[in-house]
Amino acid sequence: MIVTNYWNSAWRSLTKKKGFSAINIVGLAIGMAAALLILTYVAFEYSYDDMHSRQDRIFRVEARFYENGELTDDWASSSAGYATAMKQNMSAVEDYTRVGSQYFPEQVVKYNELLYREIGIGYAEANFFDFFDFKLLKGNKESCLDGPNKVVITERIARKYFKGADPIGKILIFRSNIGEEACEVTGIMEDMPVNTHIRYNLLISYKTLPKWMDEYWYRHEVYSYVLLKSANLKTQVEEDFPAMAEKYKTEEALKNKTWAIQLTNLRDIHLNPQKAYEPEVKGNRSSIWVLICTALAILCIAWINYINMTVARSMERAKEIGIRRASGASRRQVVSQFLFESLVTNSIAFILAVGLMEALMPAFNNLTGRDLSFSVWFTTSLGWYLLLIFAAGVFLSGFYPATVLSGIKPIRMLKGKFTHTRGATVTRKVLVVLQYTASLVLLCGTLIVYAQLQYMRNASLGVRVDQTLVLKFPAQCEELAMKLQAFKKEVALLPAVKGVTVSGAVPGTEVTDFLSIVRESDVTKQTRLLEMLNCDEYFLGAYDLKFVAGRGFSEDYGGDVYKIVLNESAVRTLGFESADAALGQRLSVETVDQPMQIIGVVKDYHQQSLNKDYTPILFALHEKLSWMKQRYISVVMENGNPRDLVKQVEGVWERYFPDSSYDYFFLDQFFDQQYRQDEVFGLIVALFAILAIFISCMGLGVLVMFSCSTRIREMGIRKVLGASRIQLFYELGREFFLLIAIAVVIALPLSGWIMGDWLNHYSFRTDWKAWFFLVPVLLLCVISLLTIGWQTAKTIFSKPARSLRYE
Amino acid sequence: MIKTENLSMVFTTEEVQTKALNEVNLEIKQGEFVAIMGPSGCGKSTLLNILGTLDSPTSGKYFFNGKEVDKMGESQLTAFRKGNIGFVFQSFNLIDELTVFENVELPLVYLGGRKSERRQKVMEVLDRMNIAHRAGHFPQQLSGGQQQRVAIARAVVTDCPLILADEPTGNLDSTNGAEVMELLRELNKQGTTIVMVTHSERDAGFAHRIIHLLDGRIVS
Repeated sequence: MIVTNYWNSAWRSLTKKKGFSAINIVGLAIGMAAALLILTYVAFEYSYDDMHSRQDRIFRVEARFYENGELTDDWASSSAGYATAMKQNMSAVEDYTRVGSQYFPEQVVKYNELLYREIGIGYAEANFFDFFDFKLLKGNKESCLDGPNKVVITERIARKYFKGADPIGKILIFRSNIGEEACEVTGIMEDMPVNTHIRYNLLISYKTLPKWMDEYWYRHEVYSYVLLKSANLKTQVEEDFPAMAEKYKTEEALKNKTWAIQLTNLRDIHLNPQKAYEPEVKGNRSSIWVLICTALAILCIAWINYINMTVARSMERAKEIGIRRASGASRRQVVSQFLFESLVTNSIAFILAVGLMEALMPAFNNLTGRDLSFSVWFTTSLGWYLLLIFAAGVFLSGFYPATVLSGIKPIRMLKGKFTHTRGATVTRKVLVVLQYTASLVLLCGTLIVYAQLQYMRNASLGVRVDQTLVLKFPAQCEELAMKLQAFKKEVALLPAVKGVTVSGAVPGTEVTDFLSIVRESDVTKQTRLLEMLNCDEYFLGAYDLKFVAGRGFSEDYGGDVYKIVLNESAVRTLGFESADAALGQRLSVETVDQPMQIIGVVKDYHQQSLNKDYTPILFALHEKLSWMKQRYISVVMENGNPRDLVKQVEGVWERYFPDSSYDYFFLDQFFDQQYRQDEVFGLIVALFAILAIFISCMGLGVLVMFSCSTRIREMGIRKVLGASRIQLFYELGREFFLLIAIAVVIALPLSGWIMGDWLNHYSFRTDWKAWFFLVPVLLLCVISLLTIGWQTAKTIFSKPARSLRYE
Repeated sequence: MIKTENLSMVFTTEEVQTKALNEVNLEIKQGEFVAIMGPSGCGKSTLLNILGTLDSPTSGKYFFNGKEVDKMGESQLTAFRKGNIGFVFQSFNLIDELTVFENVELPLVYLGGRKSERRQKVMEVLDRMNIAHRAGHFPQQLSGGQQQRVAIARAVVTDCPLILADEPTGNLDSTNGAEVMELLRELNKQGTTIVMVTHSERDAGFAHRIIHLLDGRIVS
C-alpha cells in the first residue's frame, strides 16, 4: 500500500532527526495553539445569541430619532408601546416579547434573614421562555411568568438564597428606591450563558410593572424583541414604523422628531457599536478583526517556518527522492508523499496545540473575563471554518516543499549535487519578509494599543474620580428622604470626609435619563433630547467640575429648584452663542411644571471613558425631578485610610438603612474598569506579538543555519584570506539584514494604516509618535542580530581547516 | 623563518583518539622550497594547516620569524595570516559566486587599501599568471589549470613571504601540473618561501628539501 509506504517514510523522517522534528512540530504547535486561543475567543464573540433556534428571525427593536433627516438619538432600548403597536399594525411581525431591565435592574432582595443587592433583574413577559430557547429547569414554561409578582431565578440564585431547599413557591422581597414587591418563585432557569446579551439572574413577571407602563410610548426603558415572519421583511418593517408611530405620538415632547427604529438581528447585537442604554459592554468588531488578522498572521508565520525548515532539510532527503523518482515515482506521487507528511506533522502539532490551549485556557479566561472552551467549535457552525483553515494549512505548507523537491531532475539529486534553485531561494526570502512584516505590524500594534491606553488613563478627565467612595442608593423605606438627609449630615461630620453628595449618576456610568428640552426663547420650539443628571447642591463642587460661566447650586440663593446647570456641549446643542449668553435663559423641561433658568455652565468633562465623545449634560436638583432615580451617594475623602472610612460609613449606614445592603466602590477603580476590555485586547496582542517574534526568529535561525551550512567552504576560504569575524558575520547576515529592511518598509505603513483605523474608534486618541515604529524596528533588529549571531557563531569561530575539509 | 618544537595534534571523536602529529620538530629557512611527502593519513595536511594557522596544535610550539604563533588569539592570527601567508589548495578553493578578478582581489580587500591600488595590483598579478584575459569570468568557466593559476595569483597578490601549497597539482593533468610547478619555482626564485605537500615525486623534485612524514612523525 502506497499510504503505508508514505507513513513509514514520514514517520522515519520525523524520528530520524528528532531535534529538528521537535523544533518543527513545537514551533507549529505553539503557533497553532496561539491562533486557536485567539480564534476561540473570536468564535466566542461571534457565538453570541446563537443558541436560539429562531435567531435568524428575531430582531431587537432599537429606538432612533431623526430631526430634519439627521439622526439625533440612537438607543438600544425602546418604549414598551412599540412592540404591542407593531404586532397590531404590522403583518410582518409574528410575535414579540419584552424585557424591562432599565426599570431597576439592581434591587435589594430579601429572603428571611438574607439580604443582598442583586444585579441582573429584568421584567420578562409570559412568553419569554417560548420566544427564546433559555432552559427552564423547574416550573411551567407557559405560566411561570404569567401574572404579577412571579419570579424565575437562576440555579445560582436558588443556591444562594435557598441552599438545598426547593425554592418553588417561596417568596422573595424586592426593594428598589421607589417601593417593595413580594414575588413568588415560580421557576428555576439554567444560569444564562456568558455569550448572550440577554443576561439576567432574576426574571420578574412583566405584569408586576405598573399598568400604565404596558403601552406607554414615552419611556424607552424596555428591550423589545420581535419575531418576523421572514428575515427579509426587516427593511420593510423599519420603513413602515415612522408612519405608524405618528398615531402614537400623542404628547408634546419630541413631536418634531421622526420616531424610527432599527431592527438588529439577535446575532449582530453583540458586535454592533455600543449605543445608549445597552444592557452589556459590547464587543468591538474592529478589535475582533485585528485579532483574526493576528491569529492568521501567527498561523502563517508558523506554517512558513514549517515550509522553510522542510525545504532546508530537503537537501538531506534529496537522495531519497532521487531514488524514488528513479524507481518510477511520478512527480504527482512525490507531491502526494510530501502532502501526506505535512498532514502527519500538522496533525501531531494540532493535537499538541489543543492540549497546550486547554492548559492555557484557565489563565486566558481569567485574563479575558470570558468562559471560553474549545467546545465552542463543536457547538456552533464555526467548526467548519477551523477545519477549512487546517486543511488549507496542510495543503499550503506541504505543497510548496513538494513542488520544489519534485521539480528537480533525479540525477542531480542522486549525485548529491543538489542545491536550491534561484526561484526557491527567492520564495524562501519572500516568506521570511512576510514573517517579519507580520511580526513588526503586531509589535507596532501592541505599542499603539499601549499608548492609547496610557493616553486614556492619564488624560485629564475634567472631573474628580480619586479619593471618592461611592455607595449604592438605599432601598425604599419609611421616611427615606429624611433618613437620607440625616445620613448625609452624619457622614459629612466624619473626620476623614470632605463632602457628601447624592446623584443619579457618577463618572464612569451612563447618565441614562433623557428629557426633552425646549428653549423658551426659541420661536420654532425645537425639542432636543438631552441627558439629565439629577443631583443635590453639593454634586458639582464635590466632583470638582470647573465653571466657565455662572455658578453652581447653592442654598444661599434661597432654593435653586427651578435652576439648571449645563455643560459646554449642551450649550452648543441648544444653540446658545456662548456660555455667557446661555446664562439667565430659560428652558422648558419635560415633566417640570415651570421653566428652568440656566445659572451656570461647566466645562465639558468625561462622564464616561475616553472611548466616548463628550455628550450634552444638564444638571438639576432632584426636588423637581423626584420621579428620577437617585442611584449613588458619593463620599469625598480627605487623605487617610479608605478602609477605615468604609467601616465608619458602614456603621452610620447600619443605623439608618438596616434593610438595605451596604454596597460601595472606589470611584477611581470603577472608572478604570471601563478600560478593562482595551487592556485585555492590548495584552492579547502583546502576548501574541512576542510569540510571533519568537516563532519568526526560530524560522530565521533555521534559514541562517541553512545558509551557513551551504556557505561553510566559502567562509573557510574568506577566513584563510584574512576576513575578520565581523566581516564574516556581515557576509553571512547581509542578505537577512536586507530582508528585514524590506519587511520594515512594508510593515510600517501597513501598521500605520491598520492601527489608524483602530484608533478611529476612539473619540479621544493618542498622537502618533515616532517610537511606535522605531522601537519595534530596533527590537526586531536586536533580536535578529542575536539570532543571526548565534547561528553564524559556529561557522565564524570554527577553524578554517575544518570547514575546508568539507570539500 | 619557521620553527616548530614538539608539535602534536590529536583529533578526538566520541569513540577514538587519532594522533595526526606526534612531536614534530621542524625548521624552514627563508627562501627555501620544501616538499612534505608521506602516505595518506600521515599528517601532511594537518602540519600544513598548522603552519598556515588554519588549525591550532594540541601541544607544542610554533615560531614564525621568532614570534610564537601558537599563543596568538583568533584576531591576532587573522591579522598575522593576512600579510604573511598565501595558500594554494588542491581543490583551488575559489568562491564560485565571485569573478576571477574579485577572487584575487579578496585578500587585498581584507587587508584594506585604495580601490585603484587594488585594481592595479590584481591586474599585475593576473598578467604574471597569464590569466588576465579571464578576469571577468567565473571559476566554473575556467579549466582546472586556469583555476589553479587564479588560486596562485590570489596567494601571491599580497606579496606574502610564505606560500603553503597543499597538493597544488593533485587535480590537474600533467601539462597543467607542470605549468603550476614552474610558476611556484619562479616565485621561489623571486624570494618567496614555499612549503608544499605532495604525493608526486616529480613535483617534489622542484623542492630544495624533502621532509618525509610517517604516522605523524618526521622520518627523514
